[in-house]
Amino acid sequence: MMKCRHTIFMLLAVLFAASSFTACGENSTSSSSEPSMTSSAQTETSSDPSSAPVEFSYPMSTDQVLDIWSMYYAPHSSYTSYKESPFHTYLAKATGIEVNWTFPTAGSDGNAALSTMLASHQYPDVLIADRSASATQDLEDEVIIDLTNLLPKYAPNYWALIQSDPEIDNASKTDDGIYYGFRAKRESEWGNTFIGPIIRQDWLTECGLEVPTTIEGWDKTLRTFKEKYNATFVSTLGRMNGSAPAGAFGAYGFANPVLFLDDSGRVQLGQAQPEWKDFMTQMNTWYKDGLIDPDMLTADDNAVKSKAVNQTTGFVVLNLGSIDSLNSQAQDNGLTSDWVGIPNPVDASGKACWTHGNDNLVEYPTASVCTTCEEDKIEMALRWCDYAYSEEGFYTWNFGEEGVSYTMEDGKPVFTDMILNSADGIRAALQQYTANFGTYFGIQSESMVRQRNSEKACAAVDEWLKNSTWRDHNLPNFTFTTEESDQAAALKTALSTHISETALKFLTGERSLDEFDAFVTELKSLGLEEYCKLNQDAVDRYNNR
Amino acid sequence: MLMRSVGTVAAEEKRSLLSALRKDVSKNYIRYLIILPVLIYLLLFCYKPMYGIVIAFKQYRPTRTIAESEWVGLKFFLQFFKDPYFFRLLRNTFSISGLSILFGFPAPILFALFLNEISSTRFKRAVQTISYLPHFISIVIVCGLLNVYSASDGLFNIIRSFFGLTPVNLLTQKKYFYPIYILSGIWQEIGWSSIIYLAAIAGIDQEQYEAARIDGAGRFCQMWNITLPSLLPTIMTLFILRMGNILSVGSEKILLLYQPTTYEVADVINTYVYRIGIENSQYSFSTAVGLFNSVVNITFLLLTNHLSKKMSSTSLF
Repeated sequence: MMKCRHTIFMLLAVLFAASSFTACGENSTSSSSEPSMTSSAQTETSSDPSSAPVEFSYPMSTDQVLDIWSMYYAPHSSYTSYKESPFHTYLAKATGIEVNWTFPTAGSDGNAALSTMLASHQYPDVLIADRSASATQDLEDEVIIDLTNLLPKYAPNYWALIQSDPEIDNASKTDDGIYYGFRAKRESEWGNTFIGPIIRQDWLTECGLEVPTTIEGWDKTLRTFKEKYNATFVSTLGRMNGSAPAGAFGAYGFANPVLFLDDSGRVQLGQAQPEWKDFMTQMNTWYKDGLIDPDMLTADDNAVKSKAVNQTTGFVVLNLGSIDSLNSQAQDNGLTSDWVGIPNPVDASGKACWTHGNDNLVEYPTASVCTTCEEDKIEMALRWCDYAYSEEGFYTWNFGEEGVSYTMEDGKPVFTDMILNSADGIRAALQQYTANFGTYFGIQSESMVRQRNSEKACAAVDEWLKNSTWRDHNLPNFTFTTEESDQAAALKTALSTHISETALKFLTGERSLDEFDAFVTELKSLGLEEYCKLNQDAVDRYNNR
Repeated sequence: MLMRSVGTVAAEEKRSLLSALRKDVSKNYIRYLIILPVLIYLLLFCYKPMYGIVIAFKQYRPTRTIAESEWVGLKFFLQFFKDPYFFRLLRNTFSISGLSILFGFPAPILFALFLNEISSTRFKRAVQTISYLPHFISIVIVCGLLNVYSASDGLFNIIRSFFGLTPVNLLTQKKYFYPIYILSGIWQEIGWSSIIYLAAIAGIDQEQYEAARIDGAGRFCQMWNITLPSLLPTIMTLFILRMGNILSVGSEKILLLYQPTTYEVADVINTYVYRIGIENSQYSFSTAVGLFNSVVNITFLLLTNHLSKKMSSTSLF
């Protein structure tokens, strides 16, 4: 009996060890199942040599159903499925194309769901996800098809856009010039600007201060706020990274590595520039003098907002949505706080600075047609995607259904009361009737963004957009090769670990800024030059597309 | 265990083992039936996916099958070993794990011993239940609390101010990271981990205590000479298993607590791999590191088991 128990225990121990052995293989579990369908490469272009546009108008008459796997545009949570969602049903009616949507389960990790779907090799007809970086591999692995000859024929609206807009043209094709998908774009820089300095106007007025627009102004304001209200400046590491006050020094980035294009178009690391040293010296001075809240190192947006309610700060850098929530929080707590956006500071000469709203105007959602899409459904797939780029589709995606969620006034779409004064709030209403309020498809309308935000928030964007030169310095949506992306990932992690650590040491004074040159040397030993070169090569290839 | 050099002996052993097993199965088939579901589970979810380990040696991407992926050999292992932070990560991993074992492992044993000495059953039960509770709090919430408490105007700093200390954000300070990490871990797990020891204590023959009392042994003397030696096999078994997880520190907790200012002491293998992996879906690299972790873990498991066998004659196998 004793022996038997011993045997079983031993067996279990071995199994236990073995199970810990495979813990690392979890990700691969799903992929180890054999592909059940081998995708057949389609020679879609050979069937019809002519690629001239065909006479067409929406709604398309078809009785086939289009399968779409989409990372975004899930119906509002009050609906059990897209079949009940007003936006999705109206889109089907307007295009004439019935869609069988698949979204990642709400609350789950969309990227994991995407990888699982790809690893199962059961592709939809149209895939909408953030796959632009792996477009070349996806074409090579026969996940998506080459659209080069199909676009002019079945996607006249998108094709026309590509002809007139080199940015979206470059973003839609690989380094080899193959068009692989439909890219989404913001209508203007205005809609792409959403992080910046926010200040308590009532305190400024009380202290008789001007809106600070230079570093001297910031210094004066911070010191006055500290003296009068014992309030400090606070933000989060993420929000600080792309915005004020680095720009006033001509510097880029804060505690996360930022690559930028210098005036001659070379890729450079923000943290390795002498301007960044000047910026950090100023930050260090403010930190030492107790003008920056030490909790900034750990704070998230909510922590910053609660400091605002506790009145321990009157000056923050946050995002657009925060302006309304800061003001409404203040109201709820019976405070007189009046939070407004102010321009990013400039240097003494008033030179415009780099401020970072977000990435480029062309953003991550990409719609591609998969190899599993049957020949007779290809036209339908392209027509469906192209609809978002037509005038009618632009209104549908941004404003919903005419007469229901918006009306045309003087040739301009205006949301109806049902949206603007919805009992559930404007965001929920937009989520029910439109799609482009957040992650967008086709073109995101500036007018839509203006209508969904309060006047104060819109005014803040107007301020933040002043003195901004980010378009000249932002890196484009380039793609790495497989080999490059492995190398870049390893280099980037090592570099960003060291940069984050050291930036905060410089901030708190744990490390003196006299050691800045040593810091740059350390970065070089971690592969700074290789990393910049990898990016430079990819950018060059992008520009040569 | 199978280290017999003479082949015939091994073969004989094997035959006798098989026949013994057959006999045992027919005699105790109910017990075998009970472990069957677990066995199936382990085969399906732990052994079958082991095939996936090969992606550590391949340039895998989800759009290809494992078989189609290109063989790259030890590329990802070398990438990991050559990483400029490799030694720091290894050092931190061992430090955090070692300190957790040093302080976290004896804590529930002591707790169980003291709990055993409480004579009021109601009080004992109350203490037990209360000490279990933190175990059921999600780690995200625990770390959220720690974050709030550690802020410069948080609870810990209010307490510190009673002692005349200036408020600092504790989580941004390197020297506080280990204490926060380990003490909160003990707080959360002490009650739950003590269950197994309490169960073992309950199984000790009461006659031994009676005999000891007659011999004039006091409470402490009984604890030292009866309870602790009786617990030793349980302690050693759990210790060996714990050593088998030496590189698997609670990386979720570290991810939620660390800051760039504490990377120097808090950045461990798993968090670093997470940062590499989250940017790009580097499945092969993550698997290679996972495999490395497992190999180190199993080495420690075998080593501890061997030492334990030599020194206390308790071992897993």
